[in-house]
Amino acid sequence: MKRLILIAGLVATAPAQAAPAKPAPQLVADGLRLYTYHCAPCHGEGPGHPGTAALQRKYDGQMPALLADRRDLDGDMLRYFIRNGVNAMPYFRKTEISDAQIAAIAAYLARPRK
Amino acid sequence: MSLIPQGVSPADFAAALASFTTVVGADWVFTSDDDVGLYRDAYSPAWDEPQERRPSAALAPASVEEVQAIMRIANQYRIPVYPISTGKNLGYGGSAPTLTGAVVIDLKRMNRVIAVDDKRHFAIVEPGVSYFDLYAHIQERGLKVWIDVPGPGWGSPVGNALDHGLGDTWGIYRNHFSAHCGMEVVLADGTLMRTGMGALPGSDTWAEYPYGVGASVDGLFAQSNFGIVTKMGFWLMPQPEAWCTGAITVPKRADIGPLIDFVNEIEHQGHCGEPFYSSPLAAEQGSPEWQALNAGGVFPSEEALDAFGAAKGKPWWHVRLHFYGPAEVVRAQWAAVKRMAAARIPGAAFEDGEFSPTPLPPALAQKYDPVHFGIPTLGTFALTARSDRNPNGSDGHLFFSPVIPKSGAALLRFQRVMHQAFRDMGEPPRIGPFTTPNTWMFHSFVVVVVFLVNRADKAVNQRLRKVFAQLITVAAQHGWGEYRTGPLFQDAVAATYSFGDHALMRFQEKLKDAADPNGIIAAGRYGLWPKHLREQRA
Repeated sequence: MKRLILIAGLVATAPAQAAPAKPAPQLVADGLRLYTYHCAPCHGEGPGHPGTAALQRKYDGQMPALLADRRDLDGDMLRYFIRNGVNAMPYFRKTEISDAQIAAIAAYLARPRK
Repeated sequence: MSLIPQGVSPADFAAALASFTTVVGADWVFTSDDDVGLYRDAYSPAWDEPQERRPSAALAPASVEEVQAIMRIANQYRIPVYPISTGKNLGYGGSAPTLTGAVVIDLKRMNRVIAVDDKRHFAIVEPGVSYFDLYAHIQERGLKVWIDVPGPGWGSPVGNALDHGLGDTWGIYRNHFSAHCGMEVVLADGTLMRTGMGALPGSDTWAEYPYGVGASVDGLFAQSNFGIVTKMGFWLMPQPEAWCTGAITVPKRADIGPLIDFVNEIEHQGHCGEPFYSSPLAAEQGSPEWQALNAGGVFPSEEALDAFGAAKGKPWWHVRLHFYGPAEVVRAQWAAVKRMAAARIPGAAFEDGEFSPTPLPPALAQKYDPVHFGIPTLGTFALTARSDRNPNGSDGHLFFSPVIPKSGAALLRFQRVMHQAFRDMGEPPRIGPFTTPNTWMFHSFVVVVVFLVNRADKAVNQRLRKVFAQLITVAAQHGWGEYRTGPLFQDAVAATYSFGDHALMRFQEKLKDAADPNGIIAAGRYGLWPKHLREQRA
């Protein structure tokens, strides 16, 4: 639990980091597909998405409640939450999401945006 | 690797793992603490305590043949195994085995939709298929069938049905096990068996007629441990042309009796889908009037409760009804319901609801909960996630879920008995005057109480387990039995089904000893232990 709090603290206070290398378009496309399948049912937009509601309650606008709008979730951070879970979100097994698929989701979240 | 199965030597376990690896490949044998830890029950109410049930390893076969090979190896080395489908049985045990040290057989990679037929209305799926997957398969092909989904859409139709899971559309589809039709099962010795019409080579009615001939054995594979189900058929509901909704309210406490009797009648005749009961007065629990009435946690008299409702100007009970079918018919059904209810239930009032062709616009489906339209979601996890009501979030939930009769008298009696049970334990009552039943089951109610668990606070979890165990006991003393529970409570719940000096369990034990003589499949599941482990029953 201590480790979880530490990581959560890092999320909340992450300083500006060097921009990640531009992800390969195919990796981003794979990441979007995987994000849509695995993450969006709970972290999508609008009512009926407890993950989004929980992050809205947690950050109160200081961070985007919608994961797809976050820019600070790199592969290591993402892997931590997916493999450890947080609150109601259970961890995911490797038969559900492989490490390579987590990297693809991270590439999608790191996609170039305006 | 920190655990090995009880009664298995380290050498035999290592040899078994090596043999498993030749079957499924090294990538799909999980033995590191990090990987095996992913098969713990994420919502365990005994997290990091000795009572927590934990696996020793996990295997992920990709085919029926691999499952068969695993069972032959497991028998050779007497390795206890525990099959899971998608492992999302959260609140009822998750992916953790009943017996600590068992090897989880994770069927997630067996994820083929074998068939969906929208003319004869059935599907056949493998265990790793989720409700999301099956829904997407149907939508991508424009098939005109609905699935019946439980709250969490990431669950498996196979796994959910095998734990007697339930849903929210039309009566005969909501009980997922009774809506199944045909199974393929790997038995303990690796034999592959099909049930019902599947046992007839060349039959193409496997998912349409459940029995074939002779004894129907499908029930042995649900909430039990006689085999590993690798395919399952399900009846599906044809997509209705239209939907409409309406609601009935009744003013007084006792009016719940005639209201439930009436709704039972129209539902059991097939005139409406799942009713949804609530109490509009539940929203008044923060009011000074309620705080005064409820001072000291007492359950007020029925007269005082009626006076409270009248003072608040709200009815005690509300039921929402969903109608599915041809456009003219659903409108006519609601009109008929109003006419009949007005004549039969004193004080009944009505709220005309919305009408829509199907599929409903997404916002409308969301308004009434997508599960009523066979649309899988994860919305149910709002129960546990961080929210205004639960500002720090919780680490999971545990469901107390006894079956009670579908009558107003039973509901009101249940409220008082279980309210007192909480008070007798010095606990804030989680059941009380505002408690309404869940209506997933077609011919009975189940009342679900959600308890929140906390990984970091063992004292909270220990207290919760004591309270939960006592609730099982008190409920059973009144004839109300749990319909489903997690591994920690399966012995206690199974023991309440004790008619004839536990004749039902003794019969299952005879079958278990014959069908799985080494006792390797899911030992202890729902209280059924193999002979060599029976003395350790909790």
